[in-house]
Amino acid sequence: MTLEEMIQAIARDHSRTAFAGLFEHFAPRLKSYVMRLGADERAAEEVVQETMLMVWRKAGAFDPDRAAASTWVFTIARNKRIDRIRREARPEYDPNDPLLVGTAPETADQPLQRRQHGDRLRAAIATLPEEQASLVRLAFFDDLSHREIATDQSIPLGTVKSRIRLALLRLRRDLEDLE
Amino acid sequence: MPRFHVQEDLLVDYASGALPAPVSLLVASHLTFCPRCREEVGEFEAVGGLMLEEINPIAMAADALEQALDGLVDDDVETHQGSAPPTAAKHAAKHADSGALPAPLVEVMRGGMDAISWTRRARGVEEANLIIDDARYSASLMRIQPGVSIPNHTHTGAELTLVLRGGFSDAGGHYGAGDVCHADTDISHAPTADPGEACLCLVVADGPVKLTGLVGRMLNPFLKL
Repeated sequence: MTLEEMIQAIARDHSRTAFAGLFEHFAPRLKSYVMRLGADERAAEEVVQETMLMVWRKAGAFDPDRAAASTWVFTIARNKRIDRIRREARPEYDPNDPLLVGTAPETADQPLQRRQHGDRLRAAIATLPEEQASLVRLAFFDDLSHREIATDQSIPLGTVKSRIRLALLRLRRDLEDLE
Repeated sequence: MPRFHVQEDLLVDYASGALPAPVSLLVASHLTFCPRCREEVGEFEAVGGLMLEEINPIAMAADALEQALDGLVDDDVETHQGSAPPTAAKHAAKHADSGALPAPLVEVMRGGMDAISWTRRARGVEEANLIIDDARYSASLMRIQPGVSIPNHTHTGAELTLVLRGGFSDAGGHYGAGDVCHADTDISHAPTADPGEACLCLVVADGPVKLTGLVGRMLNPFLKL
């Protein structure tokens, strides 16, 4: 069973086996992620527990055509971590907002393309020059804004912006080349 | 679809979770109007997901899974169909008194538009601070009466303005609902609200505003834009 199918099995059958499978896979990664962002071990375990509980509750909202399991779980953990630090919940746009300006209706092959996209993205990241890859990692795993990365690495803000932009552009170009 | 978007580096920081709350609020509100930026945020989140896949795992406590399984309740699993209507209903109720504002903003305003207390900043210009806990950035709503110009001013720090209703023009062009105007220290601008409808904006600022020009300098002590 893929990770995506496990989430769907929770939504469909309230499958505890599937939940355990997801927990085994994601919990140690999430713990590592949250600790890297500065939480101590106990706090990190709590964030992981809260995140996995949300995975259980929100499984029905998961749409494998829109995001990979890892992407979906990442966004939940990101929000849980922020909600813990701040008094306010993280501002999120609401897909059910009546004000939401919609996208054009999808063509039939777009969901498939999006799924293949993930594999290509993986390949593209693996080939990024180390300097660029480490900046992308800093941006996601050290809770540093572009501004803070600049201070941390003693490089000008403009340089950080352009290097991350370069890395992301390269990722995108690699993806297009593969299509 | 908006013509003026949020800068890409802010979208990356939004996706990674590194944005201060007030800036995050502005980005989330823009995303409500902008399918293109939502798509981009989705791509950056996918990068986050991949980063999560490649990170070195750290083992959980021995009883962690057991503890998690004990906490699971069948009825807690929301069905997809079940979760949509309540959210929409919640919005309809909140929107009744806030007159169509993006959900993340409605969330912050709590009491809605009626509970906002406006402070007059200049003729035809009112501002209301939003209470968001942040050491550095402030967020406020600004209401500019139709046709009114804000005196020419520069900024001591970056300022982001998202149009929520109505529109305004400055040297950079015309900004309508969903558009984001970036102002920085070297930009001096004098935005003028469209005729017809009052312009409502969400303004997120880093550092106070300096007014330029004679009238601006005279107003400066009173006008904290």
